[in-house]
Amino acid sequence: MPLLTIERPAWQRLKFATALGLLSMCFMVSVVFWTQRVRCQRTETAGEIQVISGRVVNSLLRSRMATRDLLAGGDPITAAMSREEAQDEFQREIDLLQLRFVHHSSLLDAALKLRDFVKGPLNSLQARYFGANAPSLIESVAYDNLHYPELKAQQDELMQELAREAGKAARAENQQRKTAELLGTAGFIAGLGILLATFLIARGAISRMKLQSDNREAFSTLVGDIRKLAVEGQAVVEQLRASARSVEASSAQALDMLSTIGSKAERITAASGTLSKIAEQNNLLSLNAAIEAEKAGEHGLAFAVVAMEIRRLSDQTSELNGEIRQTLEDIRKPLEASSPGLDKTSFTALHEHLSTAAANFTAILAAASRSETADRDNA
Amino acid sequence: MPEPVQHTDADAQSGTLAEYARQFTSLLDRHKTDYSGTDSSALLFALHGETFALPATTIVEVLLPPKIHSIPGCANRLATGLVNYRGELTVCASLDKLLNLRALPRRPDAPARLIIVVWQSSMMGFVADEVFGVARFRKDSLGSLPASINTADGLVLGVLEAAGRLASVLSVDALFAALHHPPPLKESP
Repeated sequence: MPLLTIERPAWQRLKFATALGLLSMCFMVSVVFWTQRVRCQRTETAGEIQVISGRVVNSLLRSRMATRDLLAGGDPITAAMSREEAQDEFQREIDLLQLRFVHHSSLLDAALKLRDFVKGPLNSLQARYFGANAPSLIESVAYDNLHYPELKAQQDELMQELAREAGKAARAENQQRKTAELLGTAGFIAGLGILLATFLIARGAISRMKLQSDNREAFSTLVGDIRKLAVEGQAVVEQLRASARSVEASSAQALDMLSTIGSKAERITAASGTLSKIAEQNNLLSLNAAIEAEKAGEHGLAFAVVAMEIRRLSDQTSELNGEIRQTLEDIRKPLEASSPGLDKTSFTALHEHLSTAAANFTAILAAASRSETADRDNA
Repeated sequence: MPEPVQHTDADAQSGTLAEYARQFTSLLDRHKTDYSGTDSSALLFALHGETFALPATTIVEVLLPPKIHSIPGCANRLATGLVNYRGELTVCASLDKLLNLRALPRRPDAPARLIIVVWQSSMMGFVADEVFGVARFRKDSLGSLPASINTADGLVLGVLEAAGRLASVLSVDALFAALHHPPPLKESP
């Protein structure tokens, strides 16, 4: 079991943030491209609506100018050709409107209504102009003078309606362009926000991974220190073992010496006992000598002095003997106190403790190795 | 045991014996005691915390206490038993009972001694707690006993002051008389 494990979610979070960032960037690029495309399309469509509508009106006006030239006595062939071109152009533009702007139904309605009007009463009128022969033209003109202004007014009205619808369609296109631009901006901002959030997530994950990396380095340093201390501890235990063996040998010698000293002290004690008895006998001897000296009267005075000196010697001997006994006792007590600490059982226990300490250091080293292995596997 | 030193003429010639004589002479001079004016001497001993004295001329010997053999059927309460003194059976008396002393515990370091006393060719012994030595005195210098102490039996002759102690000098004939004719048992005060 490693002492410190590296968390996996940090790495997964970084991967998630990276994927999300890439997705958001793709989204932003797509939004920009889509917005640009829609804006261009709508702008172009609005322009085309205006242009084509203008062409439709322009073609009708050119057709009307050809009719007016004819009525004003111009060349009928030139006027007829000019009107025909205008009519063709008008038809093409109407077709184009139908083809391109299907979704602008009101614009198409207005265009078709204008086309029906042009192909209906007005066309029949003008066809009579250009289809009739010259002699009967005057009659036709008279007729037309009566109905033409009315038709012309209707046509103007339809053209104005077409122009209004074209404006509306162009404004609708512009509105769609603005909406697309707004959506694109919003999407871009949202993508930017996602990208920012992704950046924050990634930065947090990187910081966490960096912290974990630092922790792993600290853990490795710690394990290295523990290993170093354990090795040093083993060396110290070995030194202690060697010292203990040396001390044990010295202690055995010291124990022998102490035993010898103890036996000598015992003999001195026995001798002291004998000395004590001798002193006691001397004391008795001096007492009895003093008594005999007193019995001898004047002749025993010198002997009394001798008896007194013998008694003094006896007292000194007893005092000295007491000191010897006390000294022996002072020697015996430390010997008895130190002997148990020097016996073999104490050193056996010491060796057992040292073996236990060495085994503990070995176990610490094994645990450090297992932790390092587990940490590497985990990393 | 080391061999005793044998002094020879050679030692004397070399001055060893002369030196010994000189040292011993100076020793005697140093401890010279003035015995002038004294006519008696007594052996001081302790018994149950009290110091007593007996005339030195009546003392036969001071010994280590030997085994005291009891006397079966002995009616004398003062006789504690018999001791073998140099091959002669000697009565051992209980001086504390005779003197009616209160029993006190002995000092553990006090060396007990058996004192053999002779009177009119009759010997007896008693055990003393400790023997101090011999002291000289004048008979007329003995102090008299206090009047409150009954001395009708004549056991105590007087009070002797010697070696820093006050000792009661006992009468040997009164002791032997009491041993042969024990007084009636006194009640302790």
